[in-house]
This record gives sequence, structure tokens and C-alpha cells, in this order.
Amino acid sequence: MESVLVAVGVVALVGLILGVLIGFTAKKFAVASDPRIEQVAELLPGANCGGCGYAGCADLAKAIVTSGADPALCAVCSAENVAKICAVMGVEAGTKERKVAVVYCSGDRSHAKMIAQYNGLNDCRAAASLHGGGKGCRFGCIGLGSCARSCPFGAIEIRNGLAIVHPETCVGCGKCVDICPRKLIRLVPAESKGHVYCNSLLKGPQKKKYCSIPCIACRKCVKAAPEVFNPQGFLVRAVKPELVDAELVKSAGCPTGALQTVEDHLALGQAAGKEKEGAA
Amino acid sequence: MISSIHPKKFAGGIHPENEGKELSANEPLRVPPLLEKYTLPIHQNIGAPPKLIVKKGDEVRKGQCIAEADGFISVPLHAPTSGKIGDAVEIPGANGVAVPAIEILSDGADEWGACLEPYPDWKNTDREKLKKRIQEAGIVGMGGAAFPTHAKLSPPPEKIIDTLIVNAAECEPYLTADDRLLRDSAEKVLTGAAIAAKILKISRILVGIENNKPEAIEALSAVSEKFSAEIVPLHVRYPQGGEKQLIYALTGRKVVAGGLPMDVGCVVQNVGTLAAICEAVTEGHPLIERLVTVTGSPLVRPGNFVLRLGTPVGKALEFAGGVKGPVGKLILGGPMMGFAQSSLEVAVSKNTSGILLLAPEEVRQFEAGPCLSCGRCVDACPMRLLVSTLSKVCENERYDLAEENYVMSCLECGICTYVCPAGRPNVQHFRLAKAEINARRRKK
Ligand code: SF4
Ligand code: SF4
Ligand code: SF4
Ligand code: SF4
Repeated sequence: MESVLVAVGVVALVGLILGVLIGFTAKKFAVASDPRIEQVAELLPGANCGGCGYAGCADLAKAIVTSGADPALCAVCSAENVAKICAVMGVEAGTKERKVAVVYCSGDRSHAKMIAQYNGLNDCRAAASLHGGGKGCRFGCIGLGSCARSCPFGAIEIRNGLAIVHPETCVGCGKCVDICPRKLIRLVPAESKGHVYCNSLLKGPQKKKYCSIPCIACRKCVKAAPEVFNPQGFLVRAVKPELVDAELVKSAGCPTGALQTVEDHLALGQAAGKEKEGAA
Repeated sequence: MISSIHPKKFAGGIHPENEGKELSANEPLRVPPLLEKYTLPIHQNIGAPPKLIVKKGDEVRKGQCIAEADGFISVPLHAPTSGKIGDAVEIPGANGVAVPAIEILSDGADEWGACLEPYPDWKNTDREKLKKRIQEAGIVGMGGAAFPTHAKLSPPPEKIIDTLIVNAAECEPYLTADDRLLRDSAEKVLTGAAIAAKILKISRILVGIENNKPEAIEALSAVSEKFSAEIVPLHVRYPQGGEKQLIYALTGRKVVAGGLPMDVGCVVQNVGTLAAICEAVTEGHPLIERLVTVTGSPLVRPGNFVLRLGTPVGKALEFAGGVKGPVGKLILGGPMMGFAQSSLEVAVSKNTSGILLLAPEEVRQFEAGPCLSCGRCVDACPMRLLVSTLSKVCENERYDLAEENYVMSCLECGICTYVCPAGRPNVQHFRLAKAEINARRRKK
């Protein structure tokens, strides 16, 4: 019985001594870290997407505090949190424009023609250097979803062989822009209401060979609203996409349907997609 | 003479069940009629693309230079026939990605222009002059790599070269163009080899050839004495014609990962390239045509053809009598390393060794599954890579781990895809990994 007490006593004593020692060293050799780093890190989203160019949210927090990086570098962070970070740092908060990604193509399986049966790697980057995954149009979306897999927020849906960005989920971090081998994703203002969903630089008839919904550069839309649309060779882009509302789309009368409102584009292939799911 | 060398067996490799060589090997060489239009891809070599020096409407003669080399690792391009320059167009390249090309509208005369000066007395011609000639003639590795030959024949002075290896293995199933070339013009090939050996200042010439080509071996032995070349018949094993495999089989030397043949004192040249060297030096003819095997069971008359560069694949199939049955796949190159095609517009270029049609029942369609870790790919990989690991890390986009596991040494022979029971697209994984790693290195 006594030996047990001795053992307990010894262990307690050793514990006490070590505890004091640790407490002492922790005080003595403490690394002074700015408490603000932690505060800022807590206000950042914690998704570690890397979109800001730093290794992760903690890294950006450190950069904001120690080297004065711009809190607005984080595309994901809400305006409210950016303001809070600015408050922590004691700087003036700038206004931040929210951006979202858009895939400039409507060539899903019901609109774009395939020229080969592709049975390779399920990756757009690999397919881009192998017959474009079988898609006839060499500018359009390959649809193997490299962008969707790279998106840390799950904002991209592959529907019927076409990548569609859900603007309400997209935070504009730009990861998909970097990965897409066809370079057809761009960041646009979140208020955008519509776009010309095509990326092909070929002449109209050549586009029509492989796709039933291309921009054929007929310039009807340009005539309807010259300040909104800008022809670039054989492709027209909406340079003020926030003005492309349903009314303008209707009055422009795009003969192929490449000009769509964001809403209509989101509904594209919805029916076909459902059918497929039902059949599966 | 047949060498007394006992060839070593390289590790890994396979013996494809269906060699398919009998379809075309015994057919005599055919020279098809002139086409009205050739579509010449401009960038046919590794390295910098040549610069176009003609414009639409220009009259050109056969063999006239139409694009000049841009730098040392680059070669010029020549008109395949006489006629007019047509439009600058885009056609699909071998991997289906559009490449710039130029049309030559033939005038039917097929007249040679002012040729390069021939050097019949090449034995007493300056080495640098010979090397320059090889570049002027636009010669690149015709076995598939398309690396400029004059650059390969210019090893840095600190590398001591002692052996020229003539690659006559032709280990790809179905392809017989090299075989045909040796049967018909072994002397030309060995003359080319002698010229290359002179440039390298060496005398040892070894010819590696698979022993399934007895007629070619005979033709070679008949003339080899004159060139003191040693013929080494090799086992039939794919990829016997891989540079590193061939060097090991013939000399027992091993090239380390990331190394080059010249590190072990060897330079390897394909037989087609050597024949082109011979023509460029002794006759002054630039590279404007090549031997191509056009074969496959759906073709009416498969065989070997002398095709001008810029011949569209669709025309080549017509020369072979057209198709008689349903087609499952069209491949540019051999079945192991070649690229499946999605268009008949793709044109014959300097490294097109074959055009192959497969019937639907000869094509396996599958969906890739997860790796079974069966290890068949590891057993068969001739580069001794840990393919199953590589396949998995590439699938997870861990290209850093792929690099650590020597993915850069993969020679894209296609074996690991061929043997994989799970149908995994390993080679495509590794191609993507290499591209990503190269892109990352460039960024650094
Ligand atoms: S033509 Fe335009 S819309 Fe159609 S597939 Fe090509 S890029 Fe997409
Ligand atoms: S947008 Fe680009 S990355 Fe995304 S599925 Fe289409 S081709 Fe692939
Ligand atoms: S393709 Fe590469 S990894 Fe696969 S067997 Fe050949 S060398 Fe090995
Ligand atoms: S052969 Fe295929 S399944 Fe077997 S280990 Fe290699 S990759 Fe995996």
C-alpha cells in the first residue's frame, strides 16, 4: 500500500517540476506574434483556395498584418468581413466589386457536334491535346470538368457536356480560369445579366459546321445596342454585360441563340439533363 | 557481315500477339501518281518552326526551299513538287490540334528546281560541310521523334562517341517501311551510315535489326562488308527500337534516367533518316518524300508507298485501294505509339511512319477502372518505372510525386496501357504529367 503512495507521490512531484519548467520556458522564450494575425485569419473564409496568390488563408492573414497586403485580395471574403479586417488593421476599406466566372460557350451535347469518340482520360487538359476530346469546335467547352473539379466552392456544374457556372455560388477566385485549357472562362462583374456565350474565332459558316448555337457575327446585337456589344473579328462580346437584360436579348434577335441572359443560360439543357438522369 | 555480338535482352517489353506485318511486308514498293494539291504542315521538326519565305501565288520548283530554318534546332522545309503556292490554311496535326500548313498546287510537271550541289566524293568532303548539308536538306529523325539530325550529329566535344547504331529494329507491329527500304536499298542506308560515321569521326557501325526480317538482313549482309558495318539480329520484342533499349541490347551500356545516348558513347539513327542523308549528300536532294506503310485489314491493297510530304491521309488510303469493310479506328503511326485520328485531312509529315486502319473487331473499347495493383505494367515497362504508382499519383494530380517517380523517363511506348486489365489510360496520364511538369519548370 505504501509503495503505491510513494509512486503516486513521485509522479506528482515530477509532474509539478516539469510543469513549472514548461511554464517558465514558455514565458521566457515566447515568440512574439501579432494577435491581429489570428483575428484577421478568423475573418478570412478559411477555404484555403489559394486564389489570392498566397499559400492559404493563414498566409494571407500574415501578409495583411505584416506586409500590408490588401484584404480585398481575397475574392471570397464578404464585403462585411473585409470591412472588419480593415477595422482591425485600422485602414480605410475600399469598395470591392464582386466578380463571377462565366464559361463563354453554349455548345452542349444537343448543340455541338462531336467528330470522334473520345475514350481517354477524363481531364480537359489531356483531351485538349488529343482531338479536343472529340468535339468538332476547337474553341468550345470540352466538358470533361477540369474546372468543376478545381473549383473549391463547387460552383461549376457539368451539364450535358457543358460547364455552367452558378453565379450565386461562384466567388470569383479564378481557379477555373487558370485550369481551363481552352481559356474560355473569364471573370465578369457579378451584376452581369447576359452574355454572348461563344468563344470561337472561326468564320460563321465554319462554326456552323460543328455547332448550332454559335455567334456568327451577324452583328444584329451590335446594331441594337452598339455601346453594349463589341465585335472582335468573327466573335461579338458583350462588353457591358450588366446591361444585357431579357428585353435587350429579345430586341436584339440573335438568330442562333448565342446571346442569352444568365438565367436562360442556367436553364440551358435543363430538360435534356433531366431526361438523361431519368433514363439512367 | 553478321556480327558475333550476342545481343542482351532488355528488361520488360512485350511481344504483341498480332504483328500484322505480313499485310504489307512482301508487297513491292509503290510510287503513287502526283496529286493536284499538297497541304504541307509547316512545323515538322522538334525545335523552332521554320520561317515561311514564299507567299500565295509564288511559283516554286520541286525541292525548292519554302521555309528557312530558324536557329540551330530547326530545319528548312521544301516544296514536294513544282507548282504554285496556295493558301495558308490550318489542318489537324497528328494529335488533332490544328497546325498551320501551306498548300502547294501542283503544275503536273514535277520539275526539280536548282538543286543543292551533290557531293559524290563525300569521303573527301569537309565534315562541317556535310553537317550543314544535312540541315539544308531538312532532315530530321524519321523514326518518329523528328529531332533535327544535324543537331544529333553534333555532340559536344566532351562526349566521346565510339559507336553509330543503325536502328533497323522496326519493332512496332504492322509497320514494314524500314524493312522494305532495307530490302530495296540497303546500300543507300549504309552509305548514309558511313556519312554519319564520318561526321562523328568514328568507324564502328552496328546495325540492330529484329530477326523477323530475314530478307532485309540478307540484303544488308550482302553490302555490309564494303562499309565494315556489323549486323546484329535481335529478338523480336517491343520496344526493341527504343534508343535506350537498342543501345543496351547491342552494347550492354545503360543510359541513366535523364541521360542521352551520347552519354554512353552512342548515336542512334533510324534507317529512313540515313537513306535521306545519303540522298541529300550524294544527289543533293532535300527531304520531300518518305516511305510510309499504309496498312490494315479493312484496306483493299495495303503496302508501302513513297509519299510526298503533305499528302493527305485520305489520299494515301485511296492509293492503297480504298477501304473494303467497316473501319473501327484510323491511326497515324503504329498501333502502340501512334495517334488515333479524327480527320482524313491530316497530312503525311517527316515523321509519319505509317497509316493504319483497324477493323471494328480489332479495336477494344473500354471504360477505365481503378488500378488493381496487379503489377503487369511494372513487369512490362521497358524503362523500369513503377507504373502502377505513377498511374495513381497522376490520377490524383500529384505531379510532384510523379516527377520523383521518374515520369520524365517514360518513353510513351504504350505498353502499360496495352497490358492494363483495368483499361487505364496510363500513357495519357503521363503525357499530361510531363506537360504539367514542364510548364512548372518553365515558370520557375
Ligand atoms: S461555336 Fe461557340 S458555342 Fe459552339 S461549341 Fe464552339 S465556342 Fe461553344
Ligand atoms: S470550361 Fe474549360 S475546364 Fe471547364 S469543362 Fe469546359 S473545357 Fe473543361
Ligand atoms: S509508356 Fe512509359 S511507363 Fe508505360 S510502359 Fe512505356 S515507358 Fe513504361
Ligand atoms: S496494369 Fe493497370 S491495373 Fe495493373 S497495376 Fe498497372 S495500372 Fe494498375
